[in-house]
Amino acid sequence: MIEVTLLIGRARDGDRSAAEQLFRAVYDDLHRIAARQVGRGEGAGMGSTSLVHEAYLRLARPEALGVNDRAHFFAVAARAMRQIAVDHARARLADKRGGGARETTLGAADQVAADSTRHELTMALNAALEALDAAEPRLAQLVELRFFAGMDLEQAGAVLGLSSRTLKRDFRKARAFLHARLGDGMTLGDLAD
Amino acid sequence: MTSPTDRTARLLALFDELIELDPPARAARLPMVHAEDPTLAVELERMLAADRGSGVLNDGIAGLAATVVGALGQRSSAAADGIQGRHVGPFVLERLLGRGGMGEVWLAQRIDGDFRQQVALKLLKRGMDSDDLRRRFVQERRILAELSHPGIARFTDGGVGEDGAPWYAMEYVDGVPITEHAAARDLDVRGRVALMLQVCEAVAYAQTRLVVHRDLKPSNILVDGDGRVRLLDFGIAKLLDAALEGGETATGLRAMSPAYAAPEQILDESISTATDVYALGVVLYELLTGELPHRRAAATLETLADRVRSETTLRPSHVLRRADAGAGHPTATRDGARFARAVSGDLDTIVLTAMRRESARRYPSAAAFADDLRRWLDARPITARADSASYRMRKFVARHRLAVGSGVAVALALLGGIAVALWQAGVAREQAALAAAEAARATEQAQRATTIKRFFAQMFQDSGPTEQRRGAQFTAREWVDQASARVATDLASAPDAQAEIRVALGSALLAFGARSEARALLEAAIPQLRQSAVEDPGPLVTGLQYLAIAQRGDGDLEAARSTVSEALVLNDSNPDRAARLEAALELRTQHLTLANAARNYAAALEIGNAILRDRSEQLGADHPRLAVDWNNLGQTHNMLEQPAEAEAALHRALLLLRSDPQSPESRQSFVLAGLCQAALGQGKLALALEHAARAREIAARTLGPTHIMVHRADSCSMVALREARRFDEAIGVARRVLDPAAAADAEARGLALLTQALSQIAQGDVDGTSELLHQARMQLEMPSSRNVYGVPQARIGLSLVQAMTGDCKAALVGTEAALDALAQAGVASGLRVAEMQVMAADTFAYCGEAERAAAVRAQGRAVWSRVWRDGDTEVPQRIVPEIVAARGSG
Repeated sequence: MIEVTLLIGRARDGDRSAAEQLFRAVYDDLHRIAARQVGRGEGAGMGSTSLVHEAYLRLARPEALGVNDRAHFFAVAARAMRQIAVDHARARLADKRGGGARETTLGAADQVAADSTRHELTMALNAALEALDAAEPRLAQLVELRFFAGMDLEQAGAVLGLSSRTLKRDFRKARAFLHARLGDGMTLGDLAD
Repeated sequence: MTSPTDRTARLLALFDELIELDPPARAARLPMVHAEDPTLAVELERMLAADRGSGVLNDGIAGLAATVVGALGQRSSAAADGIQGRHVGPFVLERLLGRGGMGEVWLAQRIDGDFRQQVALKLLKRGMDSDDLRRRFVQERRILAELSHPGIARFTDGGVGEDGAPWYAMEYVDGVPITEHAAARDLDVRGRVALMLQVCEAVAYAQTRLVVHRDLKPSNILVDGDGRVRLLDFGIAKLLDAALEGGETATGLRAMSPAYAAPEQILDESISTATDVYALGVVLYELLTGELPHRRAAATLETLADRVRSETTLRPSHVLRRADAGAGHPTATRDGARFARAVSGDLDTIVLTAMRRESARRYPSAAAFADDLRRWLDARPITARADSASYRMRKFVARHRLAVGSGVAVALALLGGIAVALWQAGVAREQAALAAAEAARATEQAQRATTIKRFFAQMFQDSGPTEQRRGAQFTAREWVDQASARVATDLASAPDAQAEIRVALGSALLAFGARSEARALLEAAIPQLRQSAVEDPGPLVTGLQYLAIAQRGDGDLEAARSTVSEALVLNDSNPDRAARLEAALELRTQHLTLANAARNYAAALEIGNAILRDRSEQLGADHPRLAVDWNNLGQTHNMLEQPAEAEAALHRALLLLRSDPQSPESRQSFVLAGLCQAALGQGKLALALEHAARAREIAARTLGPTHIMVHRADSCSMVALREARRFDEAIGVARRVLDPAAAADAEARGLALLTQALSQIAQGDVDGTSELLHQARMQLEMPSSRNVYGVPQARIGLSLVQAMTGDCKAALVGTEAALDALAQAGVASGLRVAEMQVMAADTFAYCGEAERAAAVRAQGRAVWSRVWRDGDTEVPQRIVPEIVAARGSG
């Protein structure tokens, strides 16, 4: 566990291999936690916020971390959650290949919309986030923290070191951008401002 | 071309700006963005709409990936199901390939007999075998069993399992979805269309069996390693023959994939073969652009239905030119401009025809769709074109009814095209006499010329006295639009002549300033011209030349450059020496214009001089053809702030134009606007105003009241009026330019705002000028604005306003920064700079920097006096009148 604390420090100093190891550690641990939850039969009920927080408690030994290290951990965890969501969606879409198998040929339209499209939507959101990231990385990171790691504005503000007033404005802009890219009627909603 | 990231950043910045404005101000601002960059404006409007919308993802990630957490822990769900290895009929289940709400598909192996056979075996999910579902399943099996086509996964076997659940086996296709196949093989446009043709043929076959698939989408269209397409999953297919359907209505279950579903599926209206045509159109759209035409993610059918009623579809080529392609984009690994060019025109039309909202206006069947794809592949005229061309003509005629006078003006506009055709016929005859081997080609060329002549003769006849007696008074523009529409149908059997006439009409439309219509015609002609380019590259070179002009006009400098380059290479292979030399000069002229557009004026000047030298050698110094060259040279001198040289060159151009009765009068307006600028640069304000008035009158009469030349003339007279201290008149012209009805471009609008602000400031009234200057700067920073001085002038003006209103700190910093920027831009001399220096001196004086003020003022006035040596007005001491200055500093 002390290893992760060290990795955070080195990653923050710009060590790329440490950053990759850290990401991998968080990514794997999120999987492990989820597997245990599923084993106990409570997997689906677990939200991404509690998942990230449990990973934080398990990996990062809070008492050993400074404020900035803590922020960095959550930024990495949010990125890892995003990656997990994208990997999941990609895998489900790939399931449809081959032999005529695919999801929901006989479902009602609502179910199709909610199910099959959701994975495509995740991929589309990811692509739109990449475009946003290229132009204004801070906005993309904010969306990761809020959407994928389930943080509220204040928590995200603590991670980014910015006032929630500034972030509110930023989030509004990011939401409009992503929403516009994804299509009308689909927004990231008001995440408990 | 700006990078996708730059565009995103620009979009976000515009959103920041507009979100701060109140609704009326926002509504006023949007058209300006639109005039500048329509695509960006659409995206911006979408953002603003999105900002107002409410969302369905309030639950954060859970709304998007509810099963993520559950799925994270799962290893292999297939093995856990416990039916792996189970026997179903003569097959044993090996591996779960996929599952849906009701059914599962397994990879299975035949175990009876000697041969190994792999199949995809579909069976009802346990617990799902209600009577209704069983009936559907059996129907799907029956439909598939009756279809036998190489493009449809073959039915092999079917039965009922030990548990009583029905199953069937079909050919196992080891392939990938069509879109992934195209991306993985990096197929070009033809490759993608050819693939789509296979799909359409398979669907057409099913339709002859009265089967509508209803769920066509890439994941149901697999392509195997040999590039062979296979349709899968007739799970929700419908038999159009109601008797076969067992009395069940189509509305019982409305399964579909929203992104590919036709409007009638979403709106629960009647299904026909055109329903599949729509989905095929969407798939082709995705194949060509890498994007879906509409994002239709929605939680409920109601929101989906609302969206479908209001959605519009961007042309595929438009999406490609938007240039913010993601990784899956077909142009990610190739020359995007070329790809977009291949798509624009007929393919745009084909896709949009297939995707029309009203099913009756689509291709009626997959077979009709396939037919047009085949025509495109063979470079024959498509059937969809005729309808859309006349539709476009009606639309544009309605949009700008521009009376130019009938008959004569038309003849002038098109004389060029006919002259070329006749001249080519003459050449053709000579060649026929010289060499028998050339005879066939020459005859063909002569025939083509005859066809072209006949076509125009017929057009003239149809717009002649008989028609006019019936009350049809044609304007030149209407005539050209009619010809454009008729050329599609009348000359469908003579594609070479058709293409050449399209180029001639395209050039006429360019002269009318109807760029997008011109571009559509040219892009329709070019595939055909490419075909015949091996024998005679001349017409293609000409077509590309005009296309480059249209592209440049659209601000598509990259595309224009690559078009010119292609034309230059082609031109070198033209065996006809005279045509080759002529075209080479034209293409160099294009290079010059592109250099101008890229603000590389030194290079433009060099090219311009070389062209003049070569053309005088070829044609003699007094040939009217040199008018254009002298004009181009003069305009470049203007941009370099060499007003005397500009004036001399432009005078030559004007004389040559006036000596040539065949030269369109509209050209004089370009030259006169340049002369206005040259006079302005020398302080000959009265002369400048005369030129501007003349330029404006000719442009408005011959080109229409919203033509860019009208605005150029107004821009010049605004500045001249302001410098003559006729402020009220200057503001009057500015208002005229800013009137939305004038539809002025960003540069003209920016200069008008600047004129308003500076005129006001010069009279000591700073009220509202900050906002005006800010707006002016926004307009002048638009990429299409070529005025180098507007932005720094707005900045220096803004600093002056700050100084006058007591904010000296900001004023001084801003002024120094703007002066630095000017010096760095290498435009530290010249009249505009001089004016700015005097303005900066006013700022310094306000803020108590007397010495700095005196120095900068002396610098500015020295330049001003030098260039205005022969001017008819005084070099002003100050920009802001003394009395206000005294009050401000006191």
